[in-house]
Amino acid sequence: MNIRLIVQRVMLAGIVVTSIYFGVQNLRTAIAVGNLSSDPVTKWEVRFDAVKKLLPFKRGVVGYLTNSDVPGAIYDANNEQGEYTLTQYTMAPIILVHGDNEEWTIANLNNKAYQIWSQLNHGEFRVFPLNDNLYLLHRVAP
Amino acid sequence: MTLLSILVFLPPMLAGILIIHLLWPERGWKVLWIKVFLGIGLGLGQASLLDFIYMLLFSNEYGFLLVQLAIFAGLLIAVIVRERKNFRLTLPRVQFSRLQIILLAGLLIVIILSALSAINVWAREPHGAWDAWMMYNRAARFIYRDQPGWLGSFLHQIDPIFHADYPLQMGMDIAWAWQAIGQETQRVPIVLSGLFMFACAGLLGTSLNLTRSFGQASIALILLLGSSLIGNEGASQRADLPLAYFFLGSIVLIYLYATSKKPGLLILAGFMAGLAAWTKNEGSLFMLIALPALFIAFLHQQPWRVLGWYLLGLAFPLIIVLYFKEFLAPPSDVLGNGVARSIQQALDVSRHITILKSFGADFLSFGGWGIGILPILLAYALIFKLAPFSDPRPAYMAIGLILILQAIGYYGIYLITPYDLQWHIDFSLSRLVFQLYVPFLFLFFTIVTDVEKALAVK
Repeated sequence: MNIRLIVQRVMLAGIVVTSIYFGVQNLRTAIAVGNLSSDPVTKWEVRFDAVKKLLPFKRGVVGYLTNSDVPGAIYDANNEQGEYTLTQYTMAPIILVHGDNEEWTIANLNNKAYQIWSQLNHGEFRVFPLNDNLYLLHRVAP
Repeated sequence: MTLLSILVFLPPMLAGILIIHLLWPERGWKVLWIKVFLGIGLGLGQASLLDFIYMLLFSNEYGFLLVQLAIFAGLLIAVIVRERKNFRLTLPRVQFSRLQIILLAGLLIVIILSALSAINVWAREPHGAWDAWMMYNRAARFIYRDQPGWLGSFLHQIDPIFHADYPLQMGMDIAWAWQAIGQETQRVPIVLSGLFMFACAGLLGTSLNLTRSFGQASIALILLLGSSLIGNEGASQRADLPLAYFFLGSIVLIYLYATSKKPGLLILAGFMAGLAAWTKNEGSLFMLIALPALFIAFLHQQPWRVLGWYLLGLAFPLIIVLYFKEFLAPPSDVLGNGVARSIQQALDVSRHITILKSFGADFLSFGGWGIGILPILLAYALIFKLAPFSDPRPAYMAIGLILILQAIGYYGIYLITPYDLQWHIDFSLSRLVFQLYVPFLFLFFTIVTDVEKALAVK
């Protein structure tokens, strides 16, 4: 048996064994990564059920307000972006636009941010407080 | 619900297989398996295209499943009429060598591990990875949840980060399947991603089994499935794996055309390229660069005729893609820089260095094995040597040119991207490499010596 043949066999065996090894590793990593019952998207969908029920239309444009829209409120930019995309996915086919310029607005504010916002906007909106720091705002004054 | 989700896609997939057979009436068990794996994707693709037209006409998806059933029935009658005198069933005689049995055993283990990983991903993230739910599953929801107003899915008010300009291959398939089932279940996008994984791996294996050998097909599949790439990427419900599948389908058909000169194969190659364009924007690049690549590769073999057949297959999906882009889709953000700024960025040497460094780093690490799979393939080619080039040179040239031009296209996109360059590279490069890796594996294993020949004791 010549050397080339030996090297070829070793190479082939190496590829097969490495594939199996990394296949096992990948599976172990995948199992270790997460709890099967904690999908954040599914949780987010449940959180917005009440908003969907209260909105009087199925398709249209709705405002979206978060801590970063409230002067003086503390926020995490990455979180805000993630939550915005999750909310858009959840609310489809409603189109979300940043701000509170629409007739209806979803406010995703923590307690502190909501307090600041309500002092600044008193009387402009009818507020529907919902679960888990969510509010649906209906503009009553232009 | 999973079974129902599979059943709902059965008529278009069977129709796809029949379309392939009508345009490529070649017989034999090896050919039959390629037709099955080509037909799965082609069927899902045609259903998505036709659903788009159906929605434009009727603004609802009621009855679309009946359309698919009617198409399948019509094609079945056409095939039966054509085959009624020629039909004969001869079972294949399968005989494996010891090497092939060892490789098959390794492959089966890798398939099981890959499938378990994918199932885990689906169970953990039923809505898919970030991009999947944000773009493709979101698009499907916009279409399905308000069918009379579905054109509102492309309003310019939608934030550009949701990429409402992305083609609708996945979105339309998911939406019409939800309608057919009567329920918005995540099993549908999960099954769809699983079908593309199955078809992609199957197409790579069966095409190499036909064009080279069983051992060659096995080792290619072990490399594809043995890394974390296909299990994770496919199960993530993103469009990169379907795109890689359509790239692979198109180049396999080009290769088969070069060996047999059957025009039907080029028509199918064009159709597959069009479906790539209907899947992701990178597919439009593929569809276009295939034109000069085919022309150059077949320069001495009636290049205009080659282009004609390819364009004939491309025409239908191309019209749909152009209509979507021209009349519905909001402008693409990647090309949003304008000419002057794009030129300025393209002349910036530091951007070239950043991109080249990232390409090099990905080359050395791609595949998740610690050492990159691509350097391993380089070593493999040196050890196993290239096969004698008696096979169709135009096919190698066409496929090689397509992959090189596609990579250059990706390089160009990074040059002119309006986003932060490093962020854009970090976010997307490994997926772009994956798109090209699958068709590259086909090219690679058609070029290197078959394992059976190399390891035959002299």
